[in-house]
Amino acid sequence: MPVENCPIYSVRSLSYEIGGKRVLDSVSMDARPGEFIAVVGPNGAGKSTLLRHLVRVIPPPKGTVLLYGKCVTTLRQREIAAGVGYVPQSSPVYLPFTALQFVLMGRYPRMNPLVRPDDREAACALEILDGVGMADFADRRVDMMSGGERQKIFIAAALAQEPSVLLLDEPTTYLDPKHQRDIQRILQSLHRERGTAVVAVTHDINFAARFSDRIVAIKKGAAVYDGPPDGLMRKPCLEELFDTEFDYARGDGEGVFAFPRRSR
Amino acid sequence: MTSRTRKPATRAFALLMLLAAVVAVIAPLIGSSNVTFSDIAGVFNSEPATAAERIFWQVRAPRVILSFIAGATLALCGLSFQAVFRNPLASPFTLGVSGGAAFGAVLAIKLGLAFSIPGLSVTQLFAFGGALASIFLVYGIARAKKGFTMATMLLTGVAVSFFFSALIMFIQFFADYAHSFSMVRWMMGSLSIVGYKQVAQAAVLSSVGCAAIFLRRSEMNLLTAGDEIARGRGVDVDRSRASIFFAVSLATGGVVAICGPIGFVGLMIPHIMRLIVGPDHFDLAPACILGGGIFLVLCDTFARTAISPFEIPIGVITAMLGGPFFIWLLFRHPN
Repeated sequence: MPVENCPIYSVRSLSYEIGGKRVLDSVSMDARPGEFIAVVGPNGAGKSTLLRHLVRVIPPPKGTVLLYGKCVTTLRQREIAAGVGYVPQSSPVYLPFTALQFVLMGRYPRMNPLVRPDDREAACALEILDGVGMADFADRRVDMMSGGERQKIFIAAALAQEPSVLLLDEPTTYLDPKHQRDIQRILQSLHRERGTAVVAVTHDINFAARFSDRIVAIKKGAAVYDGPPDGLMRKPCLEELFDTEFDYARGDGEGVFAFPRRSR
Repeated sequence: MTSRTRKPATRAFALLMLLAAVVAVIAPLIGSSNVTFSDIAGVFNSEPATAAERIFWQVRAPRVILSFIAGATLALCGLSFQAVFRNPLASPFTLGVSGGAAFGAVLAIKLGLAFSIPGLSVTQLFAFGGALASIFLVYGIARAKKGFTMATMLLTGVAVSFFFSALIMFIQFFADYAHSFSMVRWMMGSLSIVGYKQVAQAAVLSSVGCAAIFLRRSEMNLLTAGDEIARGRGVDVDRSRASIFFAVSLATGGVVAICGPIGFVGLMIPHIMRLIVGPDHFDLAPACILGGGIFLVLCDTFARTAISPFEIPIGVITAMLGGPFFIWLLFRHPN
């Protein structure tokens, strides 16, 4: 399906209302093969909603979302899932499966759903678990794990779909620094070594600036910035986006870091 | 799933299979008059049938088969509803099936209608109609609300059930004692049948429904994880759900029309099987069929022998035996 330089996603004039409230207002953006895109913006700006439209887990919006040139509303859910892995923001409280079972369930779009996954599929799932450093957790119940461990399992399950683009909704929020770093490394190696495109909604603007090729900033449902990280990581862009003041620091060879200014 | 995680399930299946075989052989021999193997062998020679032979082949055997079918169907339907609703209290009767069926039956008894289409009594016909009507009613109401959730649907089911109960009480209030007694008796459930006609009717509806549910084992696994994850993995959630609803209404409708609303099996057997074989629906679906079947055959055998020659209503027994057993299992199990 992938064609050189043909965008994976073309989003055009996407608008969406929930209960009379406009959540997305004519958003347009592209995602190309191998790109790492960070979507940033204040709480309630519509970032998660945008992501959900990309994988069509909510009712269709106004405007178009093209996946490899085809409108997602005309595709079957399985066809979308074969190209797109989605890691939602929150995981269910009750998830009785073991990590291995849950990752195997990610094979759904790639196999005959009438047949139980065989040992070959299981070996493949174990390999994916190993890739995110969770092979030792294969037989542990997912809902008994910590937030960080669970997030890795969810990424592994999405990778089991063999997606060419991975969508993540705040993958590092609520995680401790070690797990934040683990997740960042997983995404980075996925992106660099396998060329998987990544679209990550995040509140961590420094993570966004360091790892992404492009940042899309969304405020009040509209895309207010779409370009390289440098362009956003400075006054007054960040201030206008988040309605708060920032201090800036230069890292060693790693660009600019921004921190919300502490109130005095 | 892998050979290492599948091991405990394999052992459980061997045990369930063995138990099913034992129960199938022993249960028809036990009763108010015990039948021995030599009694029933007569069917293979040309001598006229003895009383024991007739009891075995015309009364006990069809009854045991019906019990197994009913138990298996209710358990599998309960399993699928628990996955679809992501609610441990969901059962085949969640969408008001038993209420609808009972209302149909009560109405038929009250009106004293006496026609029948081949094999089905008017009470059974009305019960089947009531069961189907309740599910379509609940589904229709819930769908009419924009952006309905499974919680909306569950509550609609509860509301419709209460509505039917009120109608039933209303009719009962105006019924004479004889009618009222047969209404109450119907609602307690009964597996007492003669011959194979009704076994065949239950088997046809239940096997169509159960087969449709069986084909959705992957989807039930993913629905357990929630709509968002299921969709993200590629499940056509609305279609899967609609087909499971339709399959459940057909299968339970068929069983309830003939046996009455036998409670507890559909609610508890899936939980018991989950404790034994784990959460994977590829294991759970066959386990529920075996477990539900075994459980109801055992309950029925107890029901017709405990205070023989009287029979205890089957619905009373399922809850009385199943309740304590489930609590025992809950405490025994580490998780």
